[in-house]
Amino acid sequence: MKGDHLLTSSANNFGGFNLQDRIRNFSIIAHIDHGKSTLADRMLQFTGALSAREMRDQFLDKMDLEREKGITIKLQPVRLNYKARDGQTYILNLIDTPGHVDFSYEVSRSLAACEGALLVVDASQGIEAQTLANVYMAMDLNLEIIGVVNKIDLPGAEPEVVKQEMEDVLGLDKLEIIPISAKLGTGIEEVLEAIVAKIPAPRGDEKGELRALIFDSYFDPYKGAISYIRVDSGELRKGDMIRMMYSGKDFEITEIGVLSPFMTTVESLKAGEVGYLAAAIKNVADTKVGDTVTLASRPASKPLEGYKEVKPVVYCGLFPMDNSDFEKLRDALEKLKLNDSSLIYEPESSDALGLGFRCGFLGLLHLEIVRERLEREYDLSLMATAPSVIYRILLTDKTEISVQNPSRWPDPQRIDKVMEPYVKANIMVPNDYVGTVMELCQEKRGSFINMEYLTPHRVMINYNLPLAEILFDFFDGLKSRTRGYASLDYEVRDDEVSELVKLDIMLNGETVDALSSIAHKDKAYYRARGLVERLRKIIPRQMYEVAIQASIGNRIIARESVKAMRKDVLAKCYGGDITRKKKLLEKQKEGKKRMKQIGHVEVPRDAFMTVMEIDSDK
Amino acid sequence: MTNSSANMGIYIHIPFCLHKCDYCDFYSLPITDPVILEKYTRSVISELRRRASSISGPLASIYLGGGTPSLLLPQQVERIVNSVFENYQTSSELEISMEANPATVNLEDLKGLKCAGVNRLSVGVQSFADIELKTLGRMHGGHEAESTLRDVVKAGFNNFNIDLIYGLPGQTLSSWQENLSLAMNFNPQHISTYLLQLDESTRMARKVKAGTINLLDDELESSLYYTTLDFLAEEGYYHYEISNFARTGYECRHNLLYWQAQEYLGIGCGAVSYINRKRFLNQKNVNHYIEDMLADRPLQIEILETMTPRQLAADAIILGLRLTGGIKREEFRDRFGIDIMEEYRDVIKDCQTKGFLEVENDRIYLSKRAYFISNQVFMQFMD
Repeated sequence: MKGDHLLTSSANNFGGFNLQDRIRNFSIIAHIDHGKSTLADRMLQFTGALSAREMRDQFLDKMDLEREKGITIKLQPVRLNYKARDGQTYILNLIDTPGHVDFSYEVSRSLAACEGALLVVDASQGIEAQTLANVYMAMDLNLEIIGVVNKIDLPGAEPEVVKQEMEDVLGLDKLEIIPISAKLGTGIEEVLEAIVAKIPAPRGDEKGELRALIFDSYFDPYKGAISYIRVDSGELRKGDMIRMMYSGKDFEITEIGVLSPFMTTVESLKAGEVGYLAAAIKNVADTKVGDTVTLASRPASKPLEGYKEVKPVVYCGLFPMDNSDFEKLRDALEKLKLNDSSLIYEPESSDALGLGFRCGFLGLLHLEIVRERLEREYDLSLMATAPSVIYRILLTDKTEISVQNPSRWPDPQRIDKVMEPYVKANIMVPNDYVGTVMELCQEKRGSFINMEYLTPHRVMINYNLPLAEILFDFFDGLKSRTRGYASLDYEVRDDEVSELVKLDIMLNGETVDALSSIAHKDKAYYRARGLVERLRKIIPRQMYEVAIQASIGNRIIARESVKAMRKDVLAKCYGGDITRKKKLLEKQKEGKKRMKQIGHVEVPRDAFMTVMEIDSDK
Repeated sequence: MTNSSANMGIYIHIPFCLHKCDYCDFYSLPITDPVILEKYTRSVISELRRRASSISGPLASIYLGGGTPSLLLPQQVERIVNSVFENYQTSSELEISMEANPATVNLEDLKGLKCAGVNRLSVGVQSFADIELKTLGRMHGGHEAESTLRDVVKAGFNNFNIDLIYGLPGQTLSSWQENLSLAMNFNPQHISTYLLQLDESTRMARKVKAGTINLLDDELESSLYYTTLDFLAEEGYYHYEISNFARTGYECRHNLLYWQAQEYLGIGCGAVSYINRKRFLNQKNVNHYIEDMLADRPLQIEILETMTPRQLAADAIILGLRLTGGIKREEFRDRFGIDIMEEYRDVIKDCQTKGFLEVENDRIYLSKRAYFISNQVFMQFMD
């Protein structure tokens, strides 16, 4: 492949110098759209990692979905050889952080694999809450932070203002912040020089016991699970028998290598280096992010710190439109799971929607990505029920259960108390919008924690909020009420006791289990009204009138009806236009296929998601 | 020659109008040049002659539609009709229908048409109210419509139809009933009432989209329709198709052929034929059509669809259920080799349970309440 890369042939002996001195491991921390992928593209080009022919935009974005949406969840790691102004060649390992709150644990592990981070801020947008959370995390891990102001070529750019803000909020020296335009390629060399000059080289003992951190993994159909690792101490060789310290499983290494950016095999990876390993591991669940790789023959005394089991926080039911696609959906989930150990699922049966799966996700973006991939890559047509958090319910018989599916909600008579997950929400907003944001948080059952002026104009507001409220439409509400200026980050905290009730929806008197949802007692009526109203709008007229009712237990608290269809006729049908009229009917029939028949009622497939959207529709 | 074997028709398209109406999406051109009309007549006669061999068996009907066929001179109509007689076998009770628009014909013309052999007229009245006619972009007023109808009777036509449109912007139940009552004054043998349904391409559809006119809501349209059914039943008309009513024995034989899924030849530019499991469209450009026909060059056609036996059966159901008499099981089995009650058992049962289809003595038909939502039933018979 790229034989001229000195590192692929002699990775362990770097021109007679100590290899570690020449390594710089760094992350990029940036808000979505602040230019992370473009900056990475420019660094690839500048260091000559890719020829012009190999180059394409957003090169390191792993999924088509990312490239298409223009958002980057996470970049592939890459090793760059950079000949610096001091005449030496350095190995720069870029390890990306996923730019979304759903993946904050992964962010922490990626940062743990680095000694420094580039903080990229859009010159017209300023710092966003999510970025801030990640920078704080990097600071906690003692990473060297290099400030970069991007998009200085844009008309609305205010690099000086943003620099000042970075100084005020994060304590960076504004004189050292590098102004760049990744799009135009300005300032790239300065960034690379700063990486070399400021970020410390790794300092691990090459002769010590092997400890390598897994910061990402994915499934390759030919090689099995591939783990991206950072060697902390010791040395890893092809053929070594390794042990995953948390899972306790042993595997024999079949391949190790580096990504430059294509996979390039090497004989060994030493302390400080970043690369990948393959060991015929059949399941990515055995190479969990955060686990420590050590040698089976000489295991380390203790693993690297910071490992955590990631657990889903959001659940929803996924059902095939066509019931006969159930097995196809199962296969597709199995395949996705190979690549995504945080995705969990189990079969679920719904009276309304038939057989499907109850799936758990790290957050809404994760949910959305999985759903879209299932539909796109596995050619499935799916219905998703409204997302739900996990409720802990203490029953009157003193047993405790977890419920993440509203249709499994126990009889209220049996409930002693219900606990729901809360988050600490950190909202960053220009000071003009403080009142609006606080109002929104109150509406969403939030309780105020504190507020901090980061600069005279930027405020960080902290609220304790139920996760369920954040999941529904909080972010949209926040964006629209602050004209897009607010940004949000949150961390899941403890469960708190809440007065919650199950809200059922009946269509023509029959409860539709897939439309049930959990609501706070004080908001149930309002929610029910919104829900039936919305369903009235989206359920098309049918041959019979459709009664839509919302109830809590046996009590109906809201009702609407969709009047019976009164007209669906082709007034004229003669010899000259039979073909055309038939096409109209065919088109109409196609539309019907997007409906789900529930009892005698045809419900559009999107209806089941709308349970979550009602509040934003008022 | 007996009528029982006469189950084919010829449709002749005359694609010329004084002016295109605002709701119309049929193929027509604003041409009244007598030279072109004469060339077109000769072209139609040429096509009739050439295609004579493509069908066998006697004709039950000839229908001159448009466009505005009454723009042709009576003697041109006569030549066309004669050409049919010269080249095709015809039933002894051949129906010769022609569409005529008010204000395009006078008493003299009408007498001429009668002499030419036309034995059924369909008068495109649409409305007797000036304001409604204006909305539709028609060229005539209410009084002209009435005067043309008087002439039709005077000319001796004892089989004529009045076309009316309902669902017009601003229409009310009483203004519609007024239209129906006025039509009764002429004692037509046949009435067609059509709901205004606009194709996107029409001027009126654009006005609706722009919000300058508003269509009626479904409830009102539905009650206009069912009021019509009651009104005309009271007046002694038999409701035989979703939008058509006639005195006993005066159903339009030509249109019945369509709904009975029988074959027909379409003559003239832009006309559609249905023969031998294919639907096809004639050359749409009137100049090219005339050139090809007069130079004896082959007729250009475009095949719209070639149907499988199952599609033929589905078509026959969708069309046949438009007739209030519905579909006879035996007859259907003889023609399509399919036992409809078996083949579509689930669909029929479902519709029957919901009260949209009636089944009796091996005949299925739409229930009265299903007429105005009949697409919901038809769709279920499509694959």
